[in-house]
Amino acid sequence: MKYELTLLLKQRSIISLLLLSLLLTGFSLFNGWQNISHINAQINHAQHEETLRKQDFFIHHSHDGPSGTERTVDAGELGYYLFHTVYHTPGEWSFIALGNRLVIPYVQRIRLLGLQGQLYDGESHHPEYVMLGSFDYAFLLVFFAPLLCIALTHDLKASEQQAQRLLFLQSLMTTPRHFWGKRVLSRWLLITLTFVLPVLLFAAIHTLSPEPLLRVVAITALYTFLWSVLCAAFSLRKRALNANFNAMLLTSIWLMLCVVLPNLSQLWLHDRYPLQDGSQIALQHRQWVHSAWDLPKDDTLTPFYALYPQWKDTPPVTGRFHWKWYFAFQHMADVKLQPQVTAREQTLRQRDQATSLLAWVLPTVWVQRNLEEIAQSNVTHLLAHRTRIERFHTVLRHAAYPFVFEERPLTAQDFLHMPTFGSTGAD
Amino acid sequence: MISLIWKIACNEWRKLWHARVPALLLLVLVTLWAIAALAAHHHWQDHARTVAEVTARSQHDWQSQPDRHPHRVSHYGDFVAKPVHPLSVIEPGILDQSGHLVYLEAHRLNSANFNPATEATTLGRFSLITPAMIVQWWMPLFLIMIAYATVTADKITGILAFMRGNGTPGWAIAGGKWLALFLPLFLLLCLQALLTLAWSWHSEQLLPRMAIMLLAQALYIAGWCLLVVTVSWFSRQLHSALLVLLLCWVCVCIIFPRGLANLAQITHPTQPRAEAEYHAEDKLRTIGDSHNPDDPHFVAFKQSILSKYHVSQVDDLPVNYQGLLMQEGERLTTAVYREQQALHNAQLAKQNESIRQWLWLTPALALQYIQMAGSGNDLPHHQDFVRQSEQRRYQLIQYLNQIHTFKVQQHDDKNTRVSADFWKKAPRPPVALASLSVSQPSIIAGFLVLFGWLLLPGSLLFKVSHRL
Repeated sequence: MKYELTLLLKQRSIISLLLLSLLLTGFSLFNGWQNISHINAQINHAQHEETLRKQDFFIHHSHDGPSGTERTVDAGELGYYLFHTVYHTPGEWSFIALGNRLVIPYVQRIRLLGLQGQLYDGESHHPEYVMLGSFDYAFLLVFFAPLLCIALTHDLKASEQQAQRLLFLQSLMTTPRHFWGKRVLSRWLLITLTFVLPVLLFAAIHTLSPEPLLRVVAITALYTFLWSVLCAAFSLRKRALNANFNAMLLTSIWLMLCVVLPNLSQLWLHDRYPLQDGSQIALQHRQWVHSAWDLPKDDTLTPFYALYPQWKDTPPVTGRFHWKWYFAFQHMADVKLQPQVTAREQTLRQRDQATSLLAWVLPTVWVQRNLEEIAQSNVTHLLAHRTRIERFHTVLRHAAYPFVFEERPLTAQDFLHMPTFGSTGAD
Repeated sequence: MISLIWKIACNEWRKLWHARVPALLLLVLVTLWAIAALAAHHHWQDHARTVAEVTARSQHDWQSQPDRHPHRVSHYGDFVAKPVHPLSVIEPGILDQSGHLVYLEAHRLNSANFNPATEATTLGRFSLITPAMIVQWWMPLFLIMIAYATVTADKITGILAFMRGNGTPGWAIAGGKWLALFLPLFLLLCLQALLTLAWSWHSEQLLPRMAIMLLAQALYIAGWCLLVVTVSWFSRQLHSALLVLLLCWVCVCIIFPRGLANLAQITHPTQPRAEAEYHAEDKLRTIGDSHNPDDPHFVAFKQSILSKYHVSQVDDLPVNYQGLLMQEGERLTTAVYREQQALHNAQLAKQNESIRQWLWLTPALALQYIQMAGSGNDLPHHQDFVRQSEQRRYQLIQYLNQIHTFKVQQHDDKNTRVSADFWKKAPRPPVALASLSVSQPSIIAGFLVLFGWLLLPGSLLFKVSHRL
């Protein structure tokens, strides 16, 4: 083994390939880290700003109380004008696979109106950049590592044949399996190290938690091992003496596993589990919200009071407009949309489930998916994030309803006690 | 002389045909192409259906509004879907990433929402296989596998030296070899272009769009053919020719495009949208607050209105003062939001600029820019869509505010409802696909790089083919 490694490391082309791989891995980790720290910095900034803005809001929107002693703010105005910030906080290991984090808004504003009209706001990302894809560790491992394996192991037998040593070697070997095994293992070790070393270094510098680190290392080692074995199987066939043919064959396999099959699977997936386009939710939501203005107020309030009987006996709405009725129809639109939203969520989960099944067949998908699990940047994490927003919105509504329905203004003290996304344990 | 080149090319084809493997590879490439066309067509159809559905439903919802107060209608708002060009079948570009629906309402500038990329599963992270991708990635790869040996093999067997000894000029050999590789691929490209033309005959600006795509594809493939012949001529061993070419391919097609885009993103990161919205609101507050009776801007505005109509108080105005306030407010908010949008566009432009500085590294990305521009799926086209829908929003809201001003009685403002006929006549011009000229900078940059891409290996080949 030791001699194998020295033999390998004496070749200049191999050294340069390994250095290139090290460099790219380093860059991919750095790039992921920069992206995630930008997101974290923006979230911190937004959290800081939110406190200031809320104080500012109270000053601007508060009126003198009835006795003239304490300034209060109207509950309806609070619901309509005050934005609450929600965040999609990255995990510790999110830099390893950016996944869909680049398209999901990581800072979003929510107010007390219907949630479905606000949940799907887009982020101001550069669409061309997202389309080209992120240069993260997952990408490099899935796409580039196999190519490195192919470059290093496609000509095991053929290169010896080329140097006219093959027959000589074969006559010397007592256990060929042992001999070739060592060759393959030494190559695998070097390739794995070019991926694992930067990760280890990175984890040490930033003192990251060890459990995900172990998983990342294990996934990396397994994946490179699979490709090394695959390449070895092809390059050690009995008549594998044409290195070029081996290279082309292995590149074709790479092409199938990294591009063609995942694409075909996606096509099948979208066909098998059709998803209602989100725009239909937006259109329907607008229709429910705005048609309520043209309906008698009881059409909104009766079903609303059926959901919230505790406010049933509050003073009735008689005038042309009342915040009670306004927030009730905003909420009722969400309630009516719920089946549609749940169905979409269900489809997304089914798609994710099917992907996880496919991942058992396609190693490339398996690696990408597992790294995204560690990085918390898969579609399931998006759904979890949406659920958190929903929960926060509910907490917010429940905190505001007493003031809206009992027609009490909020004092500075009440205002301070309004929940935030952070305080509800939602982030 | 031309006949000499042609003879060498014919000879090359015979050799490739007898080798069997190249013909097989070409067959695989065409199969992949067919799969890509199928997948892309499916994808496009899905998208076009969504756009048609949204447009129809939005139209229906708008037209079936009852009598309403005009300000209600301006909050009811309007939905605009992004138009898709049929050439998206070749290159869907940012279709999945950009969002295809904008909600137009009063006092707000909404983002383009609903992009499938957000809700994609892990499979979405693997790049989409499209006809454009086939030309950009896979055609060069197959070309390398088919032809890496083209000159090196002749060198090893001594045929090259023999030919040169017989007085065949080096450039003729180079030209013949190049032609033998380029012509079949060029014919395939032309076939694709012809099929696409026939399929999407009546779409707008089809010819110029298709023409730049075909030209860029031809230049790109011509460049790769030159590179393959050049490297093959330089190499002494078949194996090194293959490995060098594959390394070039990995860098040009996979590493550089992603690397450049990611570098641009980390050097010029974008602000989150929520932050921009807060900024806009802060700015609006400093300009004027129509709810505040002492606000200097609106006090002056009121004075100017009163003196215009020669009355002393608002109640005596012949028009609805609330409507006038709405118009003024909309004018102010729109100016601020447009300024924010311009800032955001400037941020993106900065990223694009930094990518373009390094574009010469990767002709694959240059080709992609041109193909995206050609199919109407690049950033400038998207920005034009956002701009057009914003114009439509402003026009529509101001029309509604006009109705508020002139058709709603001031003393009974809140209880008035205006006839639904006014909504039916509202100006809602359809949002059209931008003209090709919006992407002029990226098209020019792309073509410059592609020409350079021809020159560099071309001059190297010229040099090496003269060597004896």
